[in-house]
Amino acid sequence: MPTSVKTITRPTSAAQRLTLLGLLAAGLIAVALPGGYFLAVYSRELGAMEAEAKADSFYVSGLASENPRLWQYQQHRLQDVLDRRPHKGVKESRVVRAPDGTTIAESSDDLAQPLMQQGYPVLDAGRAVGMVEIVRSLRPVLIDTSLVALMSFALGYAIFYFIRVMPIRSVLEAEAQSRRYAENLEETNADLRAFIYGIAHDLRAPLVNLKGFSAELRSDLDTIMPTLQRSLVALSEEERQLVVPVLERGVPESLGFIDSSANKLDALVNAILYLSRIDFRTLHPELIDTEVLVREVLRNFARTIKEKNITVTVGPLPSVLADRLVVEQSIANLLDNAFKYLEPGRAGTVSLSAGQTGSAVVFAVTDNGRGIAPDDCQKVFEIFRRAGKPDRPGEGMGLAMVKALVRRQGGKVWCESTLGEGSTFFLSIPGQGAQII
Amino acid sequence: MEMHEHVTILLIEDDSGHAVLIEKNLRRAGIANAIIKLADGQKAVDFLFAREGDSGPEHSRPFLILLDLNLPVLSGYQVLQAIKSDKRLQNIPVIILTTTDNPHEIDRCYELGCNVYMTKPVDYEQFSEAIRKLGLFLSVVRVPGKK
Repeated sequence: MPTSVKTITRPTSAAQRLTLLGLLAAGLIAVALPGGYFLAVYSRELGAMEAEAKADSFYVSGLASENPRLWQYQQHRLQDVLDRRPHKGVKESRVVRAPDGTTIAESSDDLAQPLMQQGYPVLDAGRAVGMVEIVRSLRPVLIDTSLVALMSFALGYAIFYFIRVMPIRSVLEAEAQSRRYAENLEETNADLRAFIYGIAHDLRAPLVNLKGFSAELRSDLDTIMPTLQRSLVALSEEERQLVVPVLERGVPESLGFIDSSANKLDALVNAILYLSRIDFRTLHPELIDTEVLVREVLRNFARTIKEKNITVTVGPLPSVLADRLVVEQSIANLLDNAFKYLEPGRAGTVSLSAGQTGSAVVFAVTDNGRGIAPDDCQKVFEIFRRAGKPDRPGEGMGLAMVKALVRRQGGKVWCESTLGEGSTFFLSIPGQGAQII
Repeated sequence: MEMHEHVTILLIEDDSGHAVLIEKNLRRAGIANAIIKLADGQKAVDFLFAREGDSGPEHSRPFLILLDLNLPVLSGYQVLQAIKSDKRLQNIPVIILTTTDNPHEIDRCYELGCNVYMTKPVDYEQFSEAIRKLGLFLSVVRVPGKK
């Protein structure tokens, strides 16, 4: 999966902070609103009850001062006071109590639990001779509070949604979109690969004819040539001057060009088929001790190294998890180039080292050869492109193949070079290298 | 050691150049049998299936088929499938002769019941050599007869 997609799927710390913020805001609202509402309504209710208890106690105090001994027995008048309800429809109990708590008079409705209570003393000449108590049900307040709580919860969720869920959704959408782009790209790439493979393959059929009929023509000419040669004597000098150059130069030259062009085309087609097969090949990753692998590869170059007297240095190399063919062919190609393009007359040195950079192991093949001009550093990786004098054998395939192989493994290959001084080719293989002792 | 002269070779090949080169090289290998060239898959199927209803001398002889894969109208695979799934035709030896050397396609042809799979080399010396060897091979091959 491309890295761009990965970065979108992992907004970890920002997402966590957002979640925390969203939860905090939502929680605060869900608790504070109903709590505040309850406190406000409860205290207002208590205040109202106290005012009414005070009003009742004022009447009862009147009775008490009229008749300090017997007021307690004036049930009829006490009842009248208690039955007087300024707020119709509010259920409550009103009680007049003696200082010892016994009930003197009472006017009670059915009250649902839980209850709230407020009282005011009955005074006679500044002395408390009883108490008026008003009791109401707390239930209506609680029901209102829970309604408020419900609404606050909804509000809290809405806030959480705006702070957290909406951004998550947009992140998910962005992720889905980049996944769609990636899939699209993958599909286009596969189409393109199949297309290239198909074209390269279809070019083979006409090539068979080009090569076949030029060979047939050559053999037909060989067949008739002796007879033609013999019959030349029968021609006039003028006719001979016309025919001989055609037979001896024109026809062979034309055939030669047809052949060499067909061969070039054949090489091109084969190279393209080879490269596209790299793309189709399934990789078999395994743990490779690259130091051992490089030693084996170098054995194939033993003769060149000895003949050209090249100093080869191989640094400590890690083990990598990769496809063996990819690593082997890539490194062999880079080494081959390093050996091939050494500057004649200068003692050749080639070194191979490796290091870990972030999420990849990078191999570096350095030579003190003839080097590559800065403009050509990209070009050398293109198929059939070669840099510098075309004085060494080669088809311009090697680095294009390395590029295709390494890309297949998810790695990269690039070069740094100074013309006339030498080049370093870098090759990265994704993953962590392990040091094997 | 010639293949019985009465066996007709059916060369199903859309590229007339290839057909000529194949015929030339078969003749060089000493194959003197009649060669019928058919340029697309539909023509091949029409010819083979019409033969069953036809009692003309041309159609009563046993056949051997050289089949290309990239054919117009009906592909080589379709022709091969048609031949191998028909009771009366399935015994006809089919030799696939194509430019493709893709292992998947080779597997697929053998799964469909082809008898031999050959790749046409692009290099003419190898091509010519391969067809001549095919000719030598054909000269010793016995083909199921009509009766």
